[in-house]
Amino acid sequence: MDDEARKIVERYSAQAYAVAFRLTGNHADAWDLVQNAMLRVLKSYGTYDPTYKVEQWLARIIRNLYIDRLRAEARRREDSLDRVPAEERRSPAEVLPDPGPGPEDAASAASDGAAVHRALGELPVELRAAVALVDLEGYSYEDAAKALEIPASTLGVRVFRGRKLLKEKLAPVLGR
Amino acid sequence: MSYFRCWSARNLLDLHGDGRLSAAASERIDAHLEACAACREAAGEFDALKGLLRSAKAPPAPRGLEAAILKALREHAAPAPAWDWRAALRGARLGPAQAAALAGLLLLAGSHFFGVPSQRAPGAGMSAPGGRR
Repeated sequence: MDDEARKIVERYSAQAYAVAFRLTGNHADAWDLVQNAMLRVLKSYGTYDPTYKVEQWLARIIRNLYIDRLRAEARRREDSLDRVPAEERRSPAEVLPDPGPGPEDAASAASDGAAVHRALGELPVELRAAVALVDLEGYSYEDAAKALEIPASTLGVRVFRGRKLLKEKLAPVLGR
Repeated sequence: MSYFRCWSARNLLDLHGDGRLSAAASERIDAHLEACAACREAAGEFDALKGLLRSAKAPPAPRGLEAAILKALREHAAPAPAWDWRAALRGARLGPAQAAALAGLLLLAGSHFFGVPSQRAPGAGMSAPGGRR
């Protein structure tokens, strides 16, 4: 399993990280999502459904974990008595040694890319996931629909609505 | 001029640009775009948006991510250590109420086990097993 696991991690981590970063918009949350998603995939690889591509499978888990996390955060916010101080909510990625020039730096260096990720982060999560997979990651409609577990027609509507919102938000960049 | 009206053409520009329309529908959109400058401009804006989105490169996975995943996998795969009840008892901290409840439970269990009758109101009926009549 060790060799097989290593191969899967080496082959799909970068792709999974890209999807996670598009969804979360930040390095620490993307790291956590990818790590948790990879663990799920590797632990249940014996029950792998070959009708899914591994990247679809990973994207689906990442999206589900992210939505679970958003729901949990919303519940936490509602319960102000149980609110944990921000410094205690730091993810493992934030306390690891600095890996050097980070992805956020690289993204901000390319101002258009940074503007796209900012605008993407303002979309509702379901529209964000649809646009991220189709327009940024280049998934086919069929692959993206399968990864998000929705019909292709629903995906089409979400992509359409997401693009419309992005067009408004990115008007200053597009108009240059 | 095509019979296609602008509003319906605009709603199909996404699908047209994604190559998801039938050949016949695509031809009708193309014909409309040739004749309608406003819709041509809208199609250009759509292409520009798609180009901008496609150009937004995802940041590379940070160094150390793959190693961290494999390390976490090894830790998850390791068998869980056997439960050490002595250590658990040593580490246990009972509050006064919990201690009193535990003592009561032990007393009750002991009285049943050793046949000591429990206190009952006069005329309460059955006695404890082995109790005096």
